[in-house]
Amino acid sequence: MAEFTYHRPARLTEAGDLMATLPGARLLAGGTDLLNDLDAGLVSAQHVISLRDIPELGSITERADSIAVGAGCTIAAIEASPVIHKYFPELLSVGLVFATPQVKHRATLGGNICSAVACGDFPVILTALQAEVTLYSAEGTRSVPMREFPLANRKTCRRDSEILTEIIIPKKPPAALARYEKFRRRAAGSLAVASVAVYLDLDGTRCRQARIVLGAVAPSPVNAVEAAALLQQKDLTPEVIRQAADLARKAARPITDVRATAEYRRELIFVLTQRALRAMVGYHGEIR
Amino acid sequence: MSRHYLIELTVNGDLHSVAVRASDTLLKVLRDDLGLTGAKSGCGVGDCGACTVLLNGSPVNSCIFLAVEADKQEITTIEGLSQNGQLHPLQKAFIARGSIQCGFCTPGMVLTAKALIDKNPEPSEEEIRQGLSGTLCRCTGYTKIVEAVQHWQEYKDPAVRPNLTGAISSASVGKRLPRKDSLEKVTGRAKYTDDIQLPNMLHGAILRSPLAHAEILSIDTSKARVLPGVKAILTGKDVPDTPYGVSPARYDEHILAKTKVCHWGDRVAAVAAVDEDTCRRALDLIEVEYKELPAVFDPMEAMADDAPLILERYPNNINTRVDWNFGDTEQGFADADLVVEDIFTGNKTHQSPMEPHCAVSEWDSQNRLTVYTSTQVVHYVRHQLSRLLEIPEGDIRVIGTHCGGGFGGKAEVNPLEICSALLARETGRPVKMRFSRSDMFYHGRGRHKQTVTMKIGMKRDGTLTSVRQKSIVEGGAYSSFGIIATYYSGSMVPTLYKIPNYKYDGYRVNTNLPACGAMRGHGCPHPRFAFESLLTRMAKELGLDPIDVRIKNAMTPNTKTINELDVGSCELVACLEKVRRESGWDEKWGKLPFGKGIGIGCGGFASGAGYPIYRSKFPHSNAVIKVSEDGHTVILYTGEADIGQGAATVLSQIVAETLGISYERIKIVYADTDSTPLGFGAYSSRVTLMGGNACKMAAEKINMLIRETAAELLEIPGDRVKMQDDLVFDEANPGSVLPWPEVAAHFFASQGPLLGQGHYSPPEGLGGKFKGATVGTSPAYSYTACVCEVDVDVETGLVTVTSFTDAHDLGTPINPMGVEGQAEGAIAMMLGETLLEEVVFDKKGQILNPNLHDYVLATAMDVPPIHSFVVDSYEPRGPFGAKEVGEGATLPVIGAIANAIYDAIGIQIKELPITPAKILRELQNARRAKNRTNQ
Ligand SMILES: Cc1cc2nc3c(=O)[nH]c(=O)nc-3n(C[C@@H](O)[C@@H](O)[C@H](O)COP(=O)(O)OP(=O)(O)OC[C@H]3O[C@@H](n4cnc5c(N)ncnc54)[C@H](O)[C@@H]3O)c2cc1C
Ligand code: FES
Ligand code: FES
Repeated sequence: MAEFTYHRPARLTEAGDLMATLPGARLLAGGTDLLNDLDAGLVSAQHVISLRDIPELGSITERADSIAVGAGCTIAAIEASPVIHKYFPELLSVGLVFATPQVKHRATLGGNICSAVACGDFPVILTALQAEVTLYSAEGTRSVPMREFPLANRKTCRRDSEILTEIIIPKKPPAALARYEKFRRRAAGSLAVASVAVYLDLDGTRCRQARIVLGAVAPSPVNAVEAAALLQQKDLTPEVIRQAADLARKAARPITDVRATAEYRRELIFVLTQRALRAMVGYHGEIR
Repeated sequence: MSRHYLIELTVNGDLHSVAVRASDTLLKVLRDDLGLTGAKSGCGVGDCGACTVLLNGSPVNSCIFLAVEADKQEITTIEGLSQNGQLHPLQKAFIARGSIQCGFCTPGMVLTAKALIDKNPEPSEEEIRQGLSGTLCRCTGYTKIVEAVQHWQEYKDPAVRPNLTGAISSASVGKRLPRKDSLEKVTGRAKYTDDIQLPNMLHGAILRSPLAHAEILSIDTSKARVLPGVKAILTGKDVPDTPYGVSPARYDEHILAKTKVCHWGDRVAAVAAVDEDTCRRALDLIEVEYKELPAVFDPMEAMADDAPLILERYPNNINTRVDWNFGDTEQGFADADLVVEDIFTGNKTHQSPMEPHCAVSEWDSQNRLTVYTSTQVVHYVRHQLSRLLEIPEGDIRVIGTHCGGGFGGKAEVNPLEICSALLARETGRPVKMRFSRSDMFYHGRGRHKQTVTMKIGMKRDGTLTSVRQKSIVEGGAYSSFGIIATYYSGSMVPTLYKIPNYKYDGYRVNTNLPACGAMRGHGCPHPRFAFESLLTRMAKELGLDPIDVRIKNAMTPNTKTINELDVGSCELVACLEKVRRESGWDEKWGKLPFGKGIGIGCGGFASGAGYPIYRSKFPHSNAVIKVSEDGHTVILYTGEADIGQGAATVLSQIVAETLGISYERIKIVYADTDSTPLGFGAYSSRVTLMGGNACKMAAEKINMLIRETAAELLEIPGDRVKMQDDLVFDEANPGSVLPWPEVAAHFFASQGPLLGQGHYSPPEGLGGKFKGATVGTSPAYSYTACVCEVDVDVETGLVTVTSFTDAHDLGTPINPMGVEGQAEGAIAMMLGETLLEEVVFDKKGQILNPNLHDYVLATAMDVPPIHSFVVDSYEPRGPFGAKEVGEGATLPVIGAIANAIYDAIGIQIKELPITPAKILRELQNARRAKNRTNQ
């Protein structure tokens, strides 16, 4: 790994100032992506700014109509949080299929979002939950909806000097729920071959509102708007679900790589979308 | 000079102030600066978990964690787990339950388990598998690791000492004794090659080719040479011209490329420098001018007349051609009621032991070379080094350190051993070289990918009449073990079932890919997959039960196979009956709902090759036993290697049993060419039988001397002297007794050293007279049957294996716990090979998945419960009746899984690995075909 200078600010403002003044600086959270990228020469850094000691980034707090998760919270911390258990059990199920126990103790939510790898897990579900991210820099603070944050594989709209501080997830209406389906080659420690996050606000089996977001089938999460629109105000019968899944499949723009062919990924989207919807509505049995 | 940061680390309760560079990982600082080498480097990128340590009680991968980030934090490494000399209960559980094999994953595994039980003292099996899923183990199949965590509380009592279980009496053979090396391994003290730090040591690295086939026009090392810290650079012109390899008839590799490179990642230059970072920078500065040549990656294309020729000496790139014809296959097919022929394709897989190859070389003041290395075969390494460096074998000492798994990948000399020796000679300093995970894949030596055309003739009642097999064996750029793999592909086929007529055509074809080598089950898994798949399909077609068909044709004891191999003991029928009963086969086969299936496969393997790899008149295995002067301790010296399979334990048990003394008294020294006598090493499943016989003979020599001495002391005739339970007594008058150590000490006092030596060579004249008849010969053969159950997700094609039931004829199990461990590990590995693993190349011959993230090994979550059984058997040629299990156990697995999938969905997938995408495609095709016929 090439040498760099290491900084460990104790305050957010200090970190912001360093980011504003040091050229070629990189933020370090858990390092589970950054270290591999530095070692492989995928990214370079003259300065590495550690977020370890910045207290603001490590908390999970309940607000009136949202939950704010500090960007520095590890996936393991999220899994252990009573607030998350209460309001967003769907995030726990993402944790269950995320990386490995060791990685989960280092990997942060902010890092997962900022890495913006096409097959990352949390951006998919957070987009479905209509989360917003807060970006801080010496110049000020702004917030960006999750759905607009990633621009492409490993690219986001974050400016170089900005620090992601928190992820704000609006509380769901009482009858709403979300679900994440991830397909991977083996039962643990694997990135998604394809994934689907679904958010539904239900009135019995009738859909008040829906969002379907697809992962690992495009450079960044795909908001399958037409598929979701099809569900709106409908009774979610198996046939309606199938039609929506078909639209989701059409919205996917996958590539072929060592993990799967584009064709297979499309097929997975069709199946995973139906699985998520059926499970949420409570249908069992085979698809098709 | 880069800047250093002073950090404070509390490691295992001790405070350390360390100056580190910003880019240093915690793993590096623990290992190199603090000398805590328990945490291992298996991949360096977070995929394997071998580097796991606890950070404030939570498991983290220390390889992707900056040391500066650990400032003022608490770290626990494996070295800190035992307190006041007391092992942690988990450590005891790992020892007692046989959860350790090569031990490379053990520190990480124990620490991950510790973090788990600290939070949840009584985790369910599911929680354990989940909790351990970030730590890969290539040896154990996880079964015994999960068991240890389930039972850890039983070891809380400080009085429980697992290393003594049941070993008080001298009866050792057949006991579930803990491994000889488990204490070292579970505490992180076991030294693997990379754990060795010699004073003034340099590091080395190899420059790899960025093209699959190219002429080297020029190499300019001038920029690299002036980089501060660089001490030596070697290119093809600086190294001996002698080619090397495995079989003398096919020595076709150069230490570093002489005129051209033959695969992406081929070796171009070697550098020695003060540290690895400097080596990497130096490699970047070496300028090589290539002229790209047309490359060929497909064996069929490679055989074409107009294909680029990779090595001049192999016309049409055909490196080995086998043409065997036994009996009259045409007549056999004419006699059959059903003849089926089909093509089955294997996959290019890689051993991927958790420990990457590593070697350290040093020349001493007497101009003698010492090489520490992670190898299966110290004597072959010495043999090749002697040839290449042109120095006598006696001037080379090769020491096999603990070996973190081999599976065939470490069964030949490797470039690290050779280059480190050359660089050490050039610089006058010790040199360490190690492979990265990606190097492992580019070095290759994994399984040959075979395309097998199998044709079987069968009578209506299931009797086999004829078999014809053609294997196209894709071999990569060099020979390595290729000839042997190609012969094995055919030679083992007629050992399992009685085949009256057999024809085999084998072609081993060179391509511009990394060389394939020997991998567990050597040459046999792909033809076995083809055979077992066809057998089940034909049984189904004839309305017969697949197990019945196997029983009908099963090999019987004391039979000469059609290819003239001598089968001695053979209990394949008993294995089949056992798995039929234990798995509930009769209630399940053909009766499970769509998507669920059960399948059977069989396998078997040689217990050691009947002939050595190069011509040698020496005994294949040798042993020396030396009893300490006080008579207390018996030291066994053997040239064989323990690469995790448990050889040290098994050989010690054989010696203890033979001597009538307790297992604790036996200490073993192995795999050191100076102190241990020649043993060909740990390959072809030879150590238990061959090493065991040599050790037994050495122990019998000691017995003779003990008997003479005791006869004198007890004043009785020698034939009345009996040795048992550490005592020597008069069989006719058991009250007349002496402690064994006393007799041994008396011997020393009167006659000097109490020594015994033994040797073993396979019976002479094994095998027929035809070309290649020696491959497959062995003193004995193992047999195995395996039933597997699967759930196929018919929407995605994902296969979940839900259980394995396997039964083995391995003769007498010397250590049943070790046997289960081998079987479980074999099953998990082959589950991976069947469903997950494949080295994938792009169109230019570059590997797309040279890492453990996309080269997918099974995790604890992927491997189901495994129920292993041993059937009664006795092999007269084996020590105490024992033969092999390590490779035979791999062979039924692909067939069993493939057949279970066939039972689940009614379609046979004929191409490995059986991925979800392939299953889904076949299901969709079938559905479409059905819809068409319905219309
Ligand atoms: C073995 C393994 C398995 C994995 N499996 C999965 C998986 O199943 N699913 C998955 O989604 N991912 C997986 N990952 C990747 C996952 O670990 C990362 O994406 C992780 O979440 C990144 O978080 P981090 O804290 O480690 O980020 P870092 O590596 O520290 O940082 C990542 C990037 O984000 C930037 N960054 C970090 N924090 C901030 C911030 N607050 N503001 C602005 N920029 C910031 C950094 O500068 C860097 O560019 C895996 C990784 C490994 C090693
Ligand atoms: S070495 Fe750290 S995970 Fe493999
Ligand atoms: S014992 Fe686990 S990798 Fe060898």
